[in-house]
Amino acid sequence: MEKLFLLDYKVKKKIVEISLAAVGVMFRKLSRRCPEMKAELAAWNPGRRFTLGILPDGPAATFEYTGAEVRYIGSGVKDPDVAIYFKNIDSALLVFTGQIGAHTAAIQCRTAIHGDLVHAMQMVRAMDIVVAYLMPGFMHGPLFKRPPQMGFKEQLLKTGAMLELPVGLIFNAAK
Amino acid sequence: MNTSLFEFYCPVKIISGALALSSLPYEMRSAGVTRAMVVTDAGVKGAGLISILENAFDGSGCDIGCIYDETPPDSAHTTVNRVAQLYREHNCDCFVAVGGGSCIDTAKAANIVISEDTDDLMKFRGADRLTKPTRPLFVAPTTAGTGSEVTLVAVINNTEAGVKMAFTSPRLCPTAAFIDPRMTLTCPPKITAATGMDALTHAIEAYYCLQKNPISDSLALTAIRLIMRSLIKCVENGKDENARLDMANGALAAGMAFSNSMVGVVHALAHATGGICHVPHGVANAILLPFGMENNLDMRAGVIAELAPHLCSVPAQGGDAQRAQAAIQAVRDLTAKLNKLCGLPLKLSDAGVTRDKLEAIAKASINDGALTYNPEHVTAADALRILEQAF
Ligand SMILES: NC(=O)c1ccc[n+]([C@@H]2O[C@H](COP(=O)([O-])OP(=O)(O)OC[C@H]3O[C@@H](n4cnc5c(N)ncnc54)[C@H](O)[C@@H]3O)[C@@H](O)[C@H]2O)c1
Ligand SMILES: [Fe+2]
Repeated sequence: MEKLFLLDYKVKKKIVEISLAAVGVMFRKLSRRCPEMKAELAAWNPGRRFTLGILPDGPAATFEYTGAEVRYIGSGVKDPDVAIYFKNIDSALLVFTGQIGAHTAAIQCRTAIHGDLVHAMQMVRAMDIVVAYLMPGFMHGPLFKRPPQMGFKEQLLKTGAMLELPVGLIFNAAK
Repeated sequence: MNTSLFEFYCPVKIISGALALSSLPYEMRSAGVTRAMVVTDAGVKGAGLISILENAFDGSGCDIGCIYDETPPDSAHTTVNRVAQLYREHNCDCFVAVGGGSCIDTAKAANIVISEDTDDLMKFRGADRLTKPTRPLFVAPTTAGTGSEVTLVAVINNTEAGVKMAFTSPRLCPTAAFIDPRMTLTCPPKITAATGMDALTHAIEAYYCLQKNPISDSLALTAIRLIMRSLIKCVENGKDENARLDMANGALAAGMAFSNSMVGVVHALAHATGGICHVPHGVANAILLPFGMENNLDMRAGVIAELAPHLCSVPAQGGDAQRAQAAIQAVRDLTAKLNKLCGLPLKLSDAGVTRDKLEAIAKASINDGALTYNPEHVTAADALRILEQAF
């Protein structure tokens, strides 16, 4: 059974904010370097914006695909084309702490999609790639229906990205 | 114990049985409305079903403001705008859909245009975009298939862009559904078979897909029992009222089940096949269902095996694998029988799909939200493999 979080709201909020920022850093890196992500983004129109956030007005982050990369354009809901919201912060924590995968969150009605459903599916597939790189391999089991195969090249990219993550987090925090 | 969170929502009042439609004016008054914008199509009107509706209004104090009877198959956004315009011109205060999924979904979408006071339906596609309460919507289904009378979904064809647009919102749920056996008696055998297979697919996918829950499970099993008991009877003898009522109740139960536990790869592929090759929704489901079930055997043999006693006589020997195979074979036997009785296609190539379209269908299918709920992960390559098997 998923664990209940009895942490103080401020603590939960901080964990989610850091997680969202980490997603932003990893997304940017992968959008420039990862062939699988590039193939996924090939179907996106430049300028497409998407938001990940927590309802009703919890932490949120908005990203934009420029045509060349996915940029973090700041915290908050910034006029997205499509948004995936967690209905509450506990549900977001279940995902960000790797207890359940994004598809399980959707299946358990813990998320709400606002916007075009095709764009949402494309966003979810891209997010799955981000999660594969952010989460250690031993945690992949419950996060994916079919855990991704990560060969030497992918592991190398993952190591590089993880090393760059702290700098990226500091940079994004300034936005 | 499975402690997974689930939600279940169905606010639709159901009035089912002999002369159910006669209660429509009473339900309209209960909802505080009296003047109906009726949405139907030429086939339904030609079958004399609108006379049954008009008859129900006699002496009721409610009336019909306008009847729109030109809904095309799979609807169209231009149709939706026209219906909304007529609603305004005739000072209607509610919608009444009499027809299959195409008419019901047209009424749902016109309700968006009216309630949101917009002329741009596109703005509201996707999930949960409606911000205002919708007008009361009353539905009398004339096919036993889509379950749209109890779902929060509308699917509308954007004829300019050539894409099917999906709208989902709890606000799209009808106010009441009238399951009247008189309304499906005239449905031709092939449409009866196809729409019935759509309903069976809803029930089976709702039962084995990932969002299954105890409430939707019970509805899905009820639906399977009713459909297996009566689908063939309806195709053999369309005038069998008891069988027709079974099918209508079965399709409704399946609709309630899948509206809450969703569908999977069969529907994802059927939507894409319909969008690209214009194969009727039920026909595509009928062809793809056994292949979709097979696709999920690795992850879900035990759950699919549970369906066997509801679909066929269960093999005395053997475990889950054999029983799951028996369930799939039962679906194949059913479609083979329907093929003999009314020519329901068994292969995509017999339904107007050409091989050069398979790749585009596979690519479109992986952007369908239904895949989220499919137990097995499905990539474009997996989708193409299933399509080739069904070709
Ligand atoms: N909203 C939902 O939850 C949902 C679910 C599944 C499918 N759909 C949509 O529903 C549509 C398909 O609906 P459908 O399968 O009910 O078919 P339909 O509404 O397109 O009707 C098919 C044909 O049957 C004729 N017909 C219907 N009832 C008749 C009767 N009693 N007597 C004589 N002729 C009759 C119609 O005139 C029409 O020509 C598709 O657009 C599909 O995308 C919606
Ligand atoms: Fe369907």
